[in-house]
Amino acid sequence: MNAALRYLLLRSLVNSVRTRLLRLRQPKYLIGAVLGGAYFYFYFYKLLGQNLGSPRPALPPEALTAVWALALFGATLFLSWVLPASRAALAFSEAEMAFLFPAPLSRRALVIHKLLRSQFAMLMLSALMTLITGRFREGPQAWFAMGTLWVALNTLNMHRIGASFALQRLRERGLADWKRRLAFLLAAAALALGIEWTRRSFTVPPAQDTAALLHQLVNNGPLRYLLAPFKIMVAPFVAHDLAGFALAILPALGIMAAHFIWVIAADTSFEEASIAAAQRRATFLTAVQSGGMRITSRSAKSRTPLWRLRPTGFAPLALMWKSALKMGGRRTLAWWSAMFATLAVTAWFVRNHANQQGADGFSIAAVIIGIICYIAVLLSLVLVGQTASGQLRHGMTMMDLLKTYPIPGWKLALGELLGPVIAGTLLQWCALAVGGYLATTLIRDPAAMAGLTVAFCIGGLLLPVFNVGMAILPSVAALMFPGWFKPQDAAQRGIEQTGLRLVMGVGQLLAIVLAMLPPLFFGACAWFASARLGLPLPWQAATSAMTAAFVFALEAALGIAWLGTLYDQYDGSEE
Amino acid sequence: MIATDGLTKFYGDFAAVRGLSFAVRGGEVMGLVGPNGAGKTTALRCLAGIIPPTSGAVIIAGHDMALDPLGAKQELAFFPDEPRLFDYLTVRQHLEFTGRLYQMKDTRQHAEELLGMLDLKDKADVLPAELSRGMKQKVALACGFLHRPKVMFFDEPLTGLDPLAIRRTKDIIMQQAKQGVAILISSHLLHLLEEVCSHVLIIKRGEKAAYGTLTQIRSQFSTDGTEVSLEEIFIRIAGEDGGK
Repeated sequence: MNAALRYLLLRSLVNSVRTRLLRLRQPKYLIGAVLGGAYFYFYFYKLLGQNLGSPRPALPPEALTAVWALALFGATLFLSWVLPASRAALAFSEAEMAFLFPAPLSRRALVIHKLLRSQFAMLMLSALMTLITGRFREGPQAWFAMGTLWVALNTLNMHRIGASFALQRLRERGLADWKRRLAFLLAAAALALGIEWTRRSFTVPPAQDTAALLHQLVNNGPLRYLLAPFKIMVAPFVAHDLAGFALAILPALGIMAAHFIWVIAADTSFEEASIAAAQRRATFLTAVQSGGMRITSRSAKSRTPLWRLRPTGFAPLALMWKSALKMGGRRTLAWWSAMFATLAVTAWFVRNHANQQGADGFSIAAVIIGIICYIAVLLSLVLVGQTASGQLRHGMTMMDLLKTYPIPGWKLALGELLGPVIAGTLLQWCALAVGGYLATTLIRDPAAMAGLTVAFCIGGLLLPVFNVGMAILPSVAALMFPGWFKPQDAAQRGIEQTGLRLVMGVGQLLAIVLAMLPPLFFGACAWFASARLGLPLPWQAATSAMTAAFVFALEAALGIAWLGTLYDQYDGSEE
Repeated sequence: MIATDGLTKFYGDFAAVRGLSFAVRGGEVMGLVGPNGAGKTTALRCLAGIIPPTSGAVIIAGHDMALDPLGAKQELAFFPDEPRLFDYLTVRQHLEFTGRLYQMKDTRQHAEELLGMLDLKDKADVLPAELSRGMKQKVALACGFLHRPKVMFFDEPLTGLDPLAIRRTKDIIMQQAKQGVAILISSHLLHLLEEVCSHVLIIKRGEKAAYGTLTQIRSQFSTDGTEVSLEEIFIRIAGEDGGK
């Protein structure tokens, strides 16, 4: 390896560790590191490593090898030959490109540097996978598994790089991506036919003996030859002793070495695509650090606003208008409307057919769609608030501009939060409505149905104020403790950052629990009062829910006012 | 020192640079001027061997970039528009690393000289996170000068610098030219280019629109014998179709 590149890797590693250790002198990072460390220990080691990882799969070693070989084969084929669409690119940082690309270094040296730089991540991933498969409880076999995973991951990585170089050459010779994918699709279809033909040719094992069937399939027909190198790669995973592992790992290392030679021998131009990829990554990281994270790159085309903005009026509406545009405007609204219309029609169709006799498939579909809707609502309880708060914190990075507006802080806070909260609540209501409608497939009792309807109505009523509450809390934390919860830290990694996110999450949970106590108390009071007045049960529930929602809304309004005061008093220079 | 013949770079069907030919001798400073999207950065990247040209030859200090890329790169330094440094290398370590990249035998001694020349001595052991943009620019300059290149490419070297830093960078560029270095600078700061450049190459849509010494270009665009500024020439060339 080039001495300069070795210096860069080692010196960067040493300085990175040193900097991280030195900053533990700050309470923020120390607390974050302690909590993050505890989280990793208890979650990954105690919970996953000992509970989830046991008991070990009951598959015999041959079947286990076959499963791993099949998984590796599928991952290799899909990730290396089917999925890639862009030009061959290696992930370099902008600094690496500025220093290394114009320097007298060969492409081979750059590729080796890239491969070596990925080793830390490969080792961590191998250790993590060994941990969550519960192998660390098995003594030395854990190290066999970790070693095998490291070799397999490296080979897969090198195969992906080599394939990207090969695909680039094919592209330069005029092979379009769709033709290549079609070819692989046809090859996959031919393979499926071959496997089916093989299955019919041998004595069919009992249907329930999956392991035996798998064993026969992978040892006969086309899979026998296709999976041969992959079986070699995963064979050390099931080794029982050191001698067996040493014997099994040597051929696997041979395959890895062959891949290494393949990759470094390919003199394919990757510089342009690497520069473009690095610029995209830098843009993404900048967006994350400024609090405006986007999961995918969005079109730069102009968007049609949801409504025409009047020149005068309530200021937060202008911020909502801007939020709606940011979310995509009419195009996004049309897309989501079409999505929910399709979902609603599907739900109606499934429910109607599920009530007919012998339509078990429709009943199962109704349950699955319903569960998906409920899971979406549950996840959104956190996500809507986080998105809204993210928007407000993104605004904090442009505080110099926002503070010059003749608008009080509470209006700015309200305007920034309302857009995502309203959009999120509408989505939650739609999901809740579809989920509730499909629940009627299973519930036939009218009283239970009425109870369910009331429960859904109460949930729907409380959702918007709950979302506002969830959005206010992280925003307050960011404004009150700007040094601890900086939007710029969103892209940071490390145990201490995990710990800080944990602090934020736990704080948010505690605060929302506390915030829910008054609505619960007054809701309960309303329930008992209406019972004493002799109101029927649905009215009791409605009175109670409306009281709780009113108290919750009052709290949210106070929260917005508090947020506004903090916004007005915020001094970014104190960070 | 820098010679190119028919330099062409295509991105798919789009010609970012087309048939560019020029030469910059040692001690000359050439300004590369053109509207946004004219192909300046692409041309500089091709010349510095960062990306391969589609066709055409690039010769750096006698080394053909296609046949002897490592030899050519040993003789050049490229300064991107933004100083991009490694997060976990100190200023001094950046210089040590660069010295090793170019196999410099006197890295330590020369690095200390550069640190002194660029007023970086008191920042030598800090990480880039503690440096201002101007300081980072100086570190990038020091790293580029370390291996005593015969050819230097600057992509917008003065953007984002305060007037003092602009003056200092300009002086450094002039000083390097006096020592015989061939320099190619891409910049939109035309009045500054007029101060430092001996030659100008104006490109538009990737093609050469004007090329020569400042005097030649001025006389070429002078209609009534009065001296025209580089800004006026640029506006005339770019403005013919709105710079598109």
